[in-house]
Amino acid sequence: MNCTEAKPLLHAYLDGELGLESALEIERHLEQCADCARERAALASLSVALGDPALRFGAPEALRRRVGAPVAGEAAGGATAPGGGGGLSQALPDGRLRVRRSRCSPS
Amino acid sequence: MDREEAQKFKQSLLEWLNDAYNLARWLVRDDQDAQDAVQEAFVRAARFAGGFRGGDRRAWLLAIVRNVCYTLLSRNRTAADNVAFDEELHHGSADQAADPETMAFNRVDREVLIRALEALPVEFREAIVMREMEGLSYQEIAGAAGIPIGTVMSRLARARERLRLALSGKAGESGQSGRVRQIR
Repeated sequence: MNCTEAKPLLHAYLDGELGLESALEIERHLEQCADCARERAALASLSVALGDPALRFGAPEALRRRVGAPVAGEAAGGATAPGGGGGLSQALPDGRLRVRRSRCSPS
Repeated sequence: MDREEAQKFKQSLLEWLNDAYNLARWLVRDDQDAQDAVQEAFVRAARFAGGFRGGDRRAWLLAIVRNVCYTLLSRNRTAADNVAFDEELHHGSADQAADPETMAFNRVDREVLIRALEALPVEFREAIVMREMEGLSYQEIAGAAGIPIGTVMSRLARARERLRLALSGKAGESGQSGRVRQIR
């Protein structure tokens, strides 16, 4: 396997999407090719950066209430907000969904 | 699926509320729109629970979230930044960024990465979020987005190149090479 063949497969390799045979071929190539090894390291670092939990958005409590998911504190007898605590098929409690807001244009 | 099973199925979907919101929030880039999309997705999921044909329930739910988000985006006409528009013009190569400095992603400015993610065309962004944050397989991403696996691969590769370019701080100066060498 040469670099031209290896580079496009690096993504699938790192994503665990390559078959065993191709994966082994890639690994043999990576042992011999500093260029591709660097590429692999860079892609792996990017993956780590993207996996940072700080990049994730957690569901807001308001959404939890809207879909009927347990909200922190409720199990301990916390108050239920008006219109909250409905089931999955519950219609919008506050009618907010149908109101389209004007948006900023995307950057 | 009987009534009790259906109820259990709905409850099990709530387990992935955070994943659903994360995907929606990255796709529509707006908190209220994301909340609306997720609620709508859960309503649809509950309605179509009987149509679930096995496989990964989380991936199935995220596919519904994705589709609701796309409907919302097209309604809001914010999907103008699509792949067809900028594929040729803005295709850069991360090769130019392959020096030790740029590879130290552990020192990367998180804000730069977030901005770069938000700036990706939505088709690229969804591939990255589904793969890197939600851990979906190529097959699951292809199913959710209604595209061949080869397209998933090329979108991931291009998205990663762009993110690397952005992180290297060279996106502005080297993003215009127009070189197309990725497989479709």
